[in-house]
Amino acid sequence: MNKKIKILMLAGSVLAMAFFGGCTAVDPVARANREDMSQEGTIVFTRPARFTPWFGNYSISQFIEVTYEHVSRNGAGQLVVEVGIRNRGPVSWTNWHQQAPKVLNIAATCNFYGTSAGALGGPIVYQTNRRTLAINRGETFAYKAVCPVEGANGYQLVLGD
Amino acid sequence: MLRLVIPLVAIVSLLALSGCVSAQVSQPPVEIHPDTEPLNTGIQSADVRALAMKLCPELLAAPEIADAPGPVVVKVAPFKNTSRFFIDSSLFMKRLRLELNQYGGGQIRFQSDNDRVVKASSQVLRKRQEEKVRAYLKELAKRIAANPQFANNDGTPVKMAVVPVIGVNIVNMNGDSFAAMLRAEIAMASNGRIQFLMPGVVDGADYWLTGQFIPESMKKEGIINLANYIDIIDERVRLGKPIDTASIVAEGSSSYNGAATAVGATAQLGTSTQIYEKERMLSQMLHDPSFRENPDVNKHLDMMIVRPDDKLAVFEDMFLLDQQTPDVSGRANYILSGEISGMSQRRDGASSDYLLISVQLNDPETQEIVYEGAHEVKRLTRTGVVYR
Repeated sequence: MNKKIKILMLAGSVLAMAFFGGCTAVDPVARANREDMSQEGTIVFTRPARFTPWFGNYSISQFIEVTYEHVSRNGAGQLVVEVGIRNRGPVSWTNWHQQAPKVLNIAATCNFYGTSAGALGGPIVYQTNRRTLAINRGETFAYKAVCPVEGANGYQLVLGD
Repeated sequence: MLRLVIPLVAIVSLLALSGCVSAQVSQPPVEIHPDTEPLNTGIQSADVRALAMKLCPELLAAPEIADAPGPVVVKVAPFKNTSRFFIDSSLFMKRLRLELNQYGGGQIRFQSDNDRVVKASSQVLRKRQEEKVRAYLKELAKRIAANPQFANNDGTPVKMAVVPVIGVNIVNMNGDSFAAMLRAEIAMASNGRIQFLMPGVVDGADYWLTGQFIPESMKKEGIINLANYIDIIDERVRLGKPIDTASIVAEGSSSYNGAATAVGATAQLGTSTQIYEKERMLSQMLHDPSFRENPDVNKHLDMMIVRPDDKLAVFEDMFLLDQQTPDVSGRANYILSGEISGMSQRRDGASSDYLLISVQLNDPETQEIVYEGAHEVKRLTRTGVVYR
């Protein structure tokens, strides 16, 4: 067979496979890496939509810092998470040129888990609503989440913009 | 050869592409998270959820609820909205109630404030009560049949007459049906030792089976129905009296002074007396609309067996016949109430709203606030505000 014909047939096959590949009814969903999850802290900030490999995230996470994190149980045995979230303004060299917002609006959701292993331990037993926190520059927001479900032992506070 | 391959590739590509054509569909509605509000106006669903999720654990941790020996019964009072926003103010309480029911572990119970539930409960209880009455009549008949007082020494059957049941402070309840049911049960249970005379006949009876309706009420109660009206008209036609309402009312008001009829009097005076009584009641009904309604009170039926000679009730048994619609609010340990308060400012088309949504748990006996929680929010709205 002519070499050109072989190349053309191969190209046609590849093209057909490429089109048919997009026609599958279902795709497998990526599973979270358990090793990566085990490295996650109890307070995390969601990855922002904008990301550049050279200058990192343009995220408001750079404007905040956690001043305290306190976990306790109240008289009714409910798990209580108290976190101080401060709007510290721009301190990173990557955003030195940016005007720090006077008021930060960040969303906070606290997920409670049955085991202290957090998300690794199993399903969420209770999830607080997505609460918008308005924090003035330099001020600390006293965030508090209480889990009404008995037996909650782990938690993860998810902050986002 | 190339001329053959190019169409081949084109056909393969077309086949592949033809499978990937998607149908043209209309834009689906965008579903968004209830914690977000793209319009950013006034009171938002996020506020409803925030209040519920903040206050639920706090309420469950309150000592009055957490340390209570058993489930705490709570009655919900309507939410008061004094802000400028039009919303279904019960939404906050519904969401909080959902949260408490879901995570309360049975420690907190709410009394339903739903009218449909109250009505359905009333129907269910009435049906249950009817079952109880039927069972009770059987049991009562057995007791009467077994009572040696109602047995002749010579073995001849005891004769009983059924005298219509009268109402005490209540008009024209259908007691005759229950008396007839009891009569049949007695006849069956006694195996012929007690025999009944034909309805309406009292002569020659050893005893009268009769009774009284007794409502638990301090006011004059009563209902009158179409059957009674027809009785009145029939009787007046028979007696050659005018049948216009004014005449009936005039005679009804004057012919009978309203005193309760004695047990034996009704039977002795006969049908005419009952008609006069019905005329009087019809007169009252026309003057007082409350007489046309079945009073929502406990109604007891006091069944009596009376000796005709001295009109002495030798046997008496009273039981609950019709139950009042139960008011369970007295069982509530606490009252949960709430209020939406607001403060608004407007300038240059923008408005600033401060909202304080508070919830209180009150002790109904002392009126003390045993718990109070709140969710507060301040929002800047630039467009599309609805003013009260």
